[in-house]
Amino acid sequence: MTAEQRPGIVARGVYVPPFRAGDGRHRVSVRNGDEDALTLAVEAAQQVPGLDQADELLLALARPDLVDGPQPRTLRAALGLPAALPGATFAGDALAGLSALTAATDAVAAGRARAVLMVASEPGDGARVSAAAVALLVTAGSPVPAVRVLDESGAGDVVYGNWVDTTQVRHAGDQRHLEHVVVDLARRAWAEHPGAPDEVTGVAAAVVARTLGAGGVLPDHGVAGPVLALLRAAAAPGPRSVLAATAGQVVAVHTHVEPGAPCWAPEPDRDAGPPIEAESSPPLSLPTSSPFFQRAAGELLRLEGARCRACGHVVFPPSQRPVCPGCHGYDFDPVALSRTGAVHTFVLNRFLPEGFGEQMALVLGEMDDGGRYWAPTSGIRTGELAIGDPVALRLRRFTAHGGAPTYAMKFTHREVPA
Amino acid sequence: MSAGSLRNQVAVVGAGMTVFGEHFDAGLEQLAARAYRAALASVDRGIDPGELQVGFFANVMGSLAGNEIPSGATLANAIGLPGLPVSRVENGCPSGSDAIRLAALSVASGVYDVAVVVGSEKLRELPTKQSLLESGRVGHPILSYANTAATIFAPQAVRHMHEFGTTREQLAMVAVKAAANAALNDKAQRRTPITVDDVLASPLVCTPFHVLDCCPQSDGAAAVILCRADLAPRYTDKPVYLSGVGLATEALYYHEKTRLTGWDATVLAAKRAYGMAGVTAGDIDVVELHDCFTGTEIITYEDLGLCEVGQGGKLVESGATALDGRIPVNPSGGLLAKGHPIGATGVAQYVELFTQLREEAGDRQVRLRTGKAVQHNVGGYSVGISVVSVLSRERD
Repeated sequence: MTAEQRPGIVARGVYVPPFRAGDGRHRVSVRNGDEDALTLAVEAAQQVPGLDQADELLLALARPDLVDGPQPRTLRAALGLPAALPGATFAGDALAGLSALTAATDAVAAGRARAVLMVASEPGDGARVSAAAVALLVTAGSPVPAVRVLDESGAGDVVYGNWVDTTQVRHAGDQRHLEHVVVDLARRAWAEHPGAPDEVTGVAAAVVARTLGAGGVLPDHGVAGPVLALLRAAAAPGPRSVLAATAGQVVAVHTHVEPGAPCWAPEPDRDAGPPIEAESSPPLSLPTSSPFFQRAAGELLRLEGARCRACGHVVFPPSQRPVCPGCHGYDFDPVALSRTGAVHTFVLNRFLPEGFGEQMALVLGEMDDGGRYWAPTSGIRTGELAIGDPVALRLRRFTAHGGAPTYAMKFTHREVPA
Repeated sequence: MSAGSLRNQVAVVGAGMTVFGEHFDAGLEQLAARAYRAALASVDRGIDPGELQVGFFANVMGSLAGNEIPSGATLANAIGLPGLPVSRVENGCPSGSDAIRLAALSVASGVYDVAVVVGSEKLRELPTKQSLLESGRVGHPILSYANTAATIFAPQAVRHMHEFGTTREQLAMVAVKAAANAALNDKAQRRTPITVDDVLASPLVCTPFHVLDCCPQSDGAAAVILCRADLAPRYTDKPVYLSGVGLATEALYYHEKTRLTGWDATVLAAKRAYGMAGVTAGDIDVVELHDCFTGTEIITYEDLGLCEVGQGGKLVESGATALDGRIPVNPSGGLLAKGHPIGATGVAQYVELFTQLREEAGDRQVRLRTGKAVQHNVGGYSVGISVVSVLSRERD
C-alpha cells in the first residue's frame, strides 16, 4: 500500500469557545449558555473544507445522555449533508473520539466509505475539562498532504476515579494514587516504543508527560482532547506520537505527518472572560417535537432561503412564502443566505415573557447579500452593541424545553480573520 | 375595476365607551354592554335596539378572559340580541377599526341600514406577563422568539433616532402631551400629568422605551352606531360622516420590510383613505393615531403626512400636535394615556373624533377649521396591518 492509498486526515476544523473560567492555574475554556455539544460540533465541522464529499458521518460525544437524541440528524441538516448519510455515534469516555477516528480509518481502508467526516464534541464541565470540538475528514487516495494513522497501542485496568455509592454519597479518589495508576498504564502503553510521545493529554497528563519526557501537554479537552493532541503534534512533519489517558485506560497513537498536513495550535491568549448567556429553556409556541421543526429544518438550521426562478427575488422563510412577491412566480430554488453583515437596528429588551430570562438583545442585521435577518445575540455583552457593528450568524440553542433541544441562528461578534 | 367609494354613504350617529383601565368588577360581556348602552344613549333622537340590523364585534385576546372562545354570538348575547347577525373581527391591534370598516361596507352595500360595532377587551384578567406579553410567544417559534409588544415597535424608534437624530427627550414629549390631554378626559386610564424627566426616570422596558413610553394594559369597551347617510337625520342633526377608509397590509417580518423608520401599510392606508375622501393631510383639523409607544407616534406623523420624513421629533417638540397646536394629535390622551384595550382601541378613536367633530369635547375640544379628522390604527403581530379613516362633519 502506497502512502497515498493509506487513509489519512486531509482536512480539519477546530472550535474552542472563547469564554474562560477558573483560576490562573486551572483556566479552562467554557461554552456559552446557549452552546452545547451539537452547536460546538457544527462550529468545528463547517470549517472542514470539502466536507460535502463525506459519505459517512461519525460523531463522538462525551456524555451518553445526549446520544439518544437527534444529534446526528440535526448535525446533518445543519451541515447540509444528505439525510440518508450513514453514520454512528460514539460515547462512553474521553477516548470515544479516538474510537471514532479508528472507525473512520477502518471504513476508508476497507473501502466501505470514500471519505468520512468525524466530529468529536466536548461541552466541558466548567472546572477541569475544557469545551472544544474537532472535526476531521478522513479519506484515501488523495494527493493532499495528510496525517496518516499508523498504529495504536494501549493499556487498561479498573477505572480509578470518583464513584457514587447507593446512598448517593460521592467518594473522591486520592489524586496522587490516581496519578500513580495512570503513569503505570502510560508506561505499559508506551513500552514497545523508543523515545517519548510528542503530546500527552487527558487525566494526569502533566505527570505522565514529565515521567515519559513528552514534548507537550494539552490540558484535558474531554472527548475532543486526544484528536486535538494529534493535530497539535502534526505541527511538525514526520513520525509523531500522542498519548491520551483516562482514569482507567491509556492509548498511544502513532502517526506519520506529511509536510503541509492539517494541524492545530491553541490560542493561549484568547480569553473572552466568563460566558454571557445563561442556560435557559423557555417554552416555545410549538414544541421541538412538532412537525414544524422537521419542515423548517433547512430554514432554521442552515439558513436556507428560496430564490425565484423567474425574477431572482429571495424569500425567507420559504415554508411561509410560497408565492414570489416580486413576480408572483411559484417556482424557487434553495439558496444559502449570507451569514455575515452589520447591525441595522437593535433593541435590548428588559421585560420578557416568562422563562426567557432577565434581558435579551435582538438585532436586525443588514447582511452582506443585501438581505436582512432578525435574531437574538449570543456572546455579546450589554453595551457592546451599536448600529453598524459587524456581526455574524451562528447556530445556537434556543431551548431544550420538553426534550430535544431547538437550534437556530443567533448574532455573534464577527471575528476579523487573522 | 371598481371605482367604489364609501364617501358620504355612511354616517356615525351614536358613539360611547367605558372608562379604560382595570375593570376587575366587569367581564368582557359587561364591558361590551356598557359601551353599547352608552352608544345607544348618545343617539340624539333615540334608537330602538330593534332597529339594529347587523353587528360587528372587535376582540383580540378574548380567549384569555375565561369565557368561551369569543364569536359574533358572544356580542349578540352580551347585548341581549341573540339572532342578530354578528361577526367577530380579529385583525390585530386595528381590529376595532377594521370592524367599523366592515360595518360601513355592509351598510354601503345596501344590505343593511343600521349597524352596531362594539370593541371589547379584557387584558387585566391575567398578570401582565401572561396576557399581552404572552402573545409574543404565539408567533413563529424562532423568528418571533422572545418578541413582545415593545420589540415590535422599538427597533423602528432606534433606527429613527440613528437616521434622523430624533432624541430621547422628543420621545418623552409625546408621553407628556398624552398625559396632559388625558387629564381632561374622564374616560382615560392615566390622568396624572407627567414631565420629560418622569419619563426618562421610569424603568427601562426595551430600548429606547421606558415604562412611560409604553401604553398601559387596559380593560375597556367602545361602541359606535353607523347608518346609511340619508337616514342619519332620523337619529340626529349632528351626524359625523365617514369620508374615506383605507386598510393596507405590508411585508410581515422585519427582514422583509422595506424600511425600519416607518410602516408602509400606514402610508398606503392613508393614501387610500385620503384619496377616497378627496383630502390631503393639510386639510385635517385633528388626528387620533395609534401611539402604543411614543416612538410610534413620532414615526406615524410622517407616515400620515403631517410632516416631512425625519421631522416627527421636531413636530412634537414644536408643540404643533398639542391640544392648541396647528394639528392636535390624540386629544383623548391616545393609547399612551387613555389606554389600549386592543379590540376597543380603534372604536374608541372614533368615539373621540365623533365627540370632537360635534364640538362636545369640553375642556379638550380642539379648534375646528375644516371639520375633518383622521383616525389611525396599526398592528398585527409583526405590524402588518394599518387602517386609516377620514371623518367629516359635513356631507360634501
